[in-house]
Amino acid sequence: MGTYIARRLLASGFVLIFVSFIAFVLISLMPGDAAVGMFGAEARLSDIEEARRELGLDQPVVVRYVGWLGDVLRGDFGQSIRLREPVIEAMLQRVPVTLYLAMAGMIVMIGVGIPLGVLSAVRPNSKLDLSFSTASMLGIAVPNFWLGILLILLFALRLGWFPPSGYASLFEQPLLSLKLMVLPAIALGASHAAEMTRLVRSSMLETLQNEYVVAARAKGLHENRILLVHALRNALLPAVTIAGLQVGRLFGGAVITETIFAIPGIGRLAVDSIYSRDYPVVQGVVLLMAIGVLITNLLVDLLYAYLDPRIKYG
Amino acid sequence: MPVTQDSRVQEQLRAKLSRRAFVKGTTAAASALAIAGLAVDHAAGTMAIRPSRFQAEPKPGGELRAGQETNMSSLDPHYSIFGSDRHVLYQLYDTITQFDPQLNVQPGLAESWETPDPTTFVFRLRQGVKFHDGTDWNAEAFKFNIDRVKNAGADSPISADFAPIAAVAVGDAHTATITLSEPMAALPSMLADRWGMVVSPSAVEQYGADFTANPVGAGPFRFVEYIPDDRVVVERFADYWDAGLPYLDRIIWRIIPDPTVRFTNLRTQNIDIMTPVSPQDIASIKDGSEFGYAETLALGFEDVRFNCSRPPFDNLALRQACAWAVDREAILQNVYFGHGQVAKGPLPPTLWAANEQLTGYPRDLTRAREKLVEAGHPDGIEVEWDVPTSGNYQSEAEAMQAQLAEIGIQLRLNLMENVQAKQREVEGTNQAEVLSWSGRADPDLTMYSMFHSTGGYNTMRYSNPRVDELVEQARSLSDPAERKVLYDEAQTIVVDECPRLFLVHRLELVAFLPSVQGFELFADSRTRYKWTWLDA
Repeated sequence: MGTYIARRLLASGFVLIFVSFIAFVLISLMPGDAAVGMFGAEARLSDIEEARRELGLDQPVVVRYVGWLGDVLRGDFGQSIRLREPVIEAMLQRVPVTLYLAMAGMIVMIGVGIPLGVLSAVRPNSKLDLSFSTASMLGIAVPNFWLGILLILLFALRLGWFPPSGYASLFEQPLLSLKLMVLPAIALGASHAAEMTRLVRSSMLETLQNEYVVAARAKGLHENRILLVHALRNALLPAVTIAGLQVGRLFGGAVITETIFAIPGIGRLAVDSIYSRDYPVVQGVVLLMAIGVLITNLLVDLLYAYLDPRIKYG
Repeated sequence: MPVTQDSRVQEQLRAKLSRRAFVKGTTAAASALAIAGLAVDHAAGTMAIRPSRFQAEPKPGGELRAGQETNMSSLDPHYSIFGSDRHVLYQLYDTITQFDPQLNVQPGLAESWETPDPTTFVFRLRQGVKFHDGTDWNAEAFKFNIDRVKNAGADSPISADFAPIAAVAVGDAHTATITLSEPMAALPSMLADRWGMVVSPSAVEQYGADFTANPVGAGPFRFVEYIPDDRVVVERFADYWDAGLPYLDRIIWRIIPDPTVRFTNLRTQNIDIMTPVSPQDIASIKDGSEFGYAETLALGFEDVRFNCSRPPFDNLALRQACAWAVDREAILQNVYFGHGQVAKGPLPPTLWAANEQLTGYPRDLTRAREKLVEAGHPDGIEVEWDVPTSGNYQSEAEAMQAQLAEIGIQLRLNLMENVQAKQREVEGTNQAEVLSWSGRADPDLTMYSMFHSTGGYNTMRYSNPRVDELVEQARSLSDPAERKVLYDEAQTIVVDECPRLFLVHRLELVAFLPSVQGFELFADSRTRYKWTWLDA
């Protein structure tokens, strides 16, 4: 197991370099550069030209990438051109916020997806199953910015149950923080919960056909025990894979949710930085996301080994 | 305070009308009678530019929660890029001169100034003013700030405008002299904006590049905290020089990008005041009775700017054909729901230098077709305009596309990111771009920068020697009447030659809960909360 993890980490290093290079080149290929992006629409031509020279943006892409990589390997992630603060600081302020939002989204995804999926599988084609199916179709079809605004108009404006938008730290104002996170978590997690429902349902249905389930029933085991301990554990394997892949998508969807709900997360930072070609920040965020995805997938693969004793890594 | 005609009218209005109508009525009354309501006292040195809407005795205390659309680009006024930054900056920083609500220049941290000759300004500074960190406001601080802006370089969007400043000399502790290399009529006006927002020299020395995270000014409020993308918090500055002000204890700006969510925050009373108000929400705010509001016509305009240096729009007749074919009234009605005014030229009618004789281009398809023939394209032509994806540019562009098609101009719209559109504008590879201009209080900053052949904002690459002459001369004179004559002619030429199509002056609105008192929107549509109080 140890060598397996070591090999994975080494491979991850190569992936990170490759990803960062692609991101760097992409941003450099896009029309406009940080000099144009830093001044907004009412920029003077002379200011842009001078800024371009000062930032070294007229040098070839590969030269600039190597310079950036050298700095990063020494721990210097550079300065945000737009925000005029260190990239690390800009990211560190925001990462916990998005993590919080993404976790809340995952709780919705798992907390809604798995129970609904199981219930649907246990009573296939019943009215319950059909209504859950419809709900999950809607959940997948509805765009998350639309759902977000709808939730705000219904639960904040009309009913007044929750504040419309904003963010509070969980450690400083726990009650307010949780209240503020309910609607964004639903907006973000709804489509993922819907997909999870459908996945768990079909996976459960398939698992319940297996011979060992028939055997367990024949042995007289309690139905709930069969479902939850034996069947679900196996049915969850594909769900775990999907959940791992969803992490990346949760971060992506977080951008829209963060904008709608005015949450100061890293998604907004990423988008604003891309729009203004603030490449040091873009590189930092890309690296961070890549590391996150790589670690999550590693954990998912290790979780597999735990869930399914037939899987062994060496 | 003496009973003026203004306050008598206000009392009558209050007695007759409902609260909503009263709020609306006083806005109108205030604009009409604003001059009477102002109290400006040069001689005694007390600055009293109070907005004229005072209905009762102000109550000190309270926390104002403001909802704002855009993040701050910087808390350092000399490096600030977005116009909306000033909603916050005007509370942290006092300015050397000051605007009244109509943008006339009044004393600020300088009590008075003289121009013994066109290239010399002598400022006499207000005494007894302190920065938030206790540093004194004096001639040394004045010099420090002017030098700081001038030497800031390309990182600062305002530094280049101080090029004509040759030197700043300190006289006694409260007198400073600016010497120019050429006349600069706009200087007093600029000193009421970011150019004149003064920072504490000690704080800059102490924090250096970190000043932007530790801003120190001399304004009515001092900095507490800033969480990017989330909020800005300021609190009352107890030693503010204008005794008794401000009334508020704290202000929190929440940054809420989505307009629907921002409005919902106001409707659920999670915020007290909201900027800006989207065109689609203006009607429900003005017609309803839930909210107070303040409005002003935008200082800038929505426009289309042509690249005059290459085909097809190096052709004057073609530009004029587009000008006659565009239906500005329809754009105003359909995109802005009728809120605002059709633009006849580069300066809004609220600005003193605007040419009232301009007729603009009321839609005339016959003349448009004639111009098209004159341009050498009797059978029509295909052109492409760049359209940035933010704001209302796409809606405007689509409307114009349909309008131009009526005379045979096939308009292709290139939708693209803001930065990409800017890049093409900078390179000069575009044909035209749909965009907007935020406007400036002094006409020089619009007319020279935009239409002089070497102007920093002349992205149209437009050149007319007569216009150059006019705007050069206008910036060297100090008498507004003389300047207006020159600007009138320049505007006429510029409208006739259409390097830009001027479309609409929007209506800028700020909406607030009824508890917010003492708020008036200045003509630059930036909020000042110095006189604001809460009736809660």
